[in-house]
Amino acid sequence: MITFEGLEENFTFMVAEVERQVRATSSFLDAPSHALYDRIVGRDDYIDNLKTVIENKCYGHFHKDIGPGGLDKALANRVRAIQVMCVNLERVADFCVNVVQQTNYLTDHAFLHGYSYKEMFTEIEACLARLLATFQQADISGALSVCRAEYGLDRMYKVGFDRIMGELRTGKNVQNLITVLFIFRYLERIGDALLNIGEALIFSILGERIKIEQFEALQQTLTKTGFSGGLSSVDFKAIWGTRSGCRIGKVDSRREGQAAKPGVDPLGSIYKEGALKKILDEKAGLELWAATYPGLVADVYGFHEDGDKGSLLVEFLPGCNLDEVLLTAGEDVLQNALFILTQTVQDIWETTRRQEPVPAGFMAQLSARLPEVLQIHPGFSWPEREICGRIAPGTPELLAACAEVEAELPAPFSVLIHGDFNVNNMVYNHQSQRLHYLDVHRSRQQDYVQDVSVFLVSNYRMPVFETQLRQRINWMMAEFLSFARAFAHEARDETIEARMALALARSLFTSTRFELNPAFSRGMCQRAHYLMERVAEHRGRPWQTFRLPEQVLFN
Amino acid sequence: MSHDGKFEFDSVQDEKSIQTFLAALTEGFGRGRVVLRSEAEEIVLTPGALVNFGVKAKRKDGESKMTIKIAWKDARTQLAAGERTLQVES
Repeated sequence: MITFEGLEENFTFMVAEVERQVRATSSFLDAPSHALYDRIVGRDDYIDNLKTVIENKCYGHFHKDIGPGGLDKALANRVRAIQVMCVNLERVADFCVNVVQQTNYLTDHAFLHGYSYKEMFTEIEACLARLLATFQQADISGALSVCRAEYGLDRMYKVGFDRIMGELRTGKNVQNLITVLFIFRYLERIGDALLNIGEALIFSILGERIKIEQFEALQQTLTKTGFSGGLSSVDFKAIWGTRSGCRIGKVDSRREGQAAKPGVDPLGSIYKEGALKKILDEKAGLELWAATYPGLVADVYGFHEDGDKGSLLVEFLPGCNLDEVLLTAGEDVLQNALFILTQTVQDIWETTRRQEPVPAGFMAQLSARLPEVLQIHPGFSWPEREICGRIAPGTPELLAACAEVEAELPAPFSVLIHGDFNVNNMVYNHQSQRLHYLDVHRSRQQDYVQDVSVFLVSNYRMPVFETQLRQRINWMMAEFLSFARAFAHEARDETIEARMALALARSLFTSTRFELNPAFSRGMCQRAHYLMERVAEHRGRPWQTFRLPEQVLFN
Repeated sequence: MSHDGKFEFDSVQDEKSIQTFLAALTEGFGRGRVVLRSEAEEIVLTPGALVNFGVKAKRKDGESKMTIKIAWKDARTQLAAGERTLQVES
């Protein structure tokens, strides 16, 4: 319960005032009077002021509590929710004033009584009546029912709308019909505000900004897994954001100290929701790995599809992301993590290897991503330049030359690659001495050099410049590169160096779209050009003699 | 110099490739014409008989930087000649 400076009390008043305003509006439509009209319009100012008071307290609270430790997370979420609810409650009150003002345009007030506005008011009033208890008791079902009021109001509005449109076609009572339509429209917009309030309630309870349709997808996915607990027993925690457009959260069905439930993994599971295509790719990737290399990726517990959205409930893999290990673990743990990483990767490459040449297509991938890069960094494609006869090739020339080289340079064999082998797409479990892959929606049979280059560049571009940590990163890159070279040697892959140069050029260049630091991103782009230039000028000589200028990664 | 202009080149090189640029520049100075081109834009610099030549270097926290500066004033007669040529051409 929030007790500071009477914020909870102010909020209670706000809800009560808006309820009163809605009731008065409904009464006014039934039986209008000047006194009631004035009261409704007058109360609007009071509600407006109350909203300002509450907002000031909310912002004041955040301002005051900034500092070490800050505001308790759960309390901060409640304050945020109060602020959002308050803004939307005030909007509801405004719409009430709009509704009563519309009645001035009716030539005959009784005309309105032929239309079913009453049921819309019943829905709105029922919803507001639940609001405080839902908030105070953190009742997720109550929050969902507040959200659902919007669906009901939309449906009622549609019925009214269709009827009025039909009647307008007769050409009679046009002014009255349009006025009634406007009143219905304002009531429908109250539904939109109630949906925002419901979503704020969910946020205050779960601490996760989640849209109602996402929540329903989660609910259905959980039901499909055979999870029998009520939604209120689900602890929904956001564990990381993602730039790839999916929302990810961790679902833990246990209460603290409670024993594990059968069916769903006792350590919880991960819920992912996003564009159907992406979720389907992720599911296919997870299933592919489960069939090929059991235990490497999370188990799929459930899948749900709804229009162009999809959701997945997958096993939560305990452990640390490899980037955390790299930056924070002790020396011995890090050494061990690298050992497990290289052992696992080597085993995967050996067991999934198919002895058939495969075109890598690094330059095609780079060209496809170039527009996205140029959108962020317009100056990253430069023309050919010449200094006293010494030509420095431009970006288009290098891309074309390297694409030709690449056509002559297929990988001698393919392996099942991760496809987005970023250092933060792996989980290392020190207890079980296991490594797991995350985000496998791009996994396929390909040149292993792609995974190596993505891994190296994801290390390279970590925004860490402290000397000791940088040395660790450099050590990790050097070790992994030397591991890849040793594998190539064993596998008689004689063109790894040239392909690696192209793959690194591609990763360095395309990763600049995530880098906003001008000097750093320009440096990455220049290094990509440097690598392409070295490859392009080697043409005509045997590719076995090309040596990757690996210093691009180390200084 | 035939007309005003600006040329910029910023890149990553290694000890071998940097030498090819430096050698090309040396050769340009030897011929008395430093030609710099970017797409269709070309600047031709003609170093004077006397030039200012400065070298600055610094090393700090593991980073080194060296700046070479060569500057001169273009001869007036040469500028006038350039202007006359432009008039004829237009």
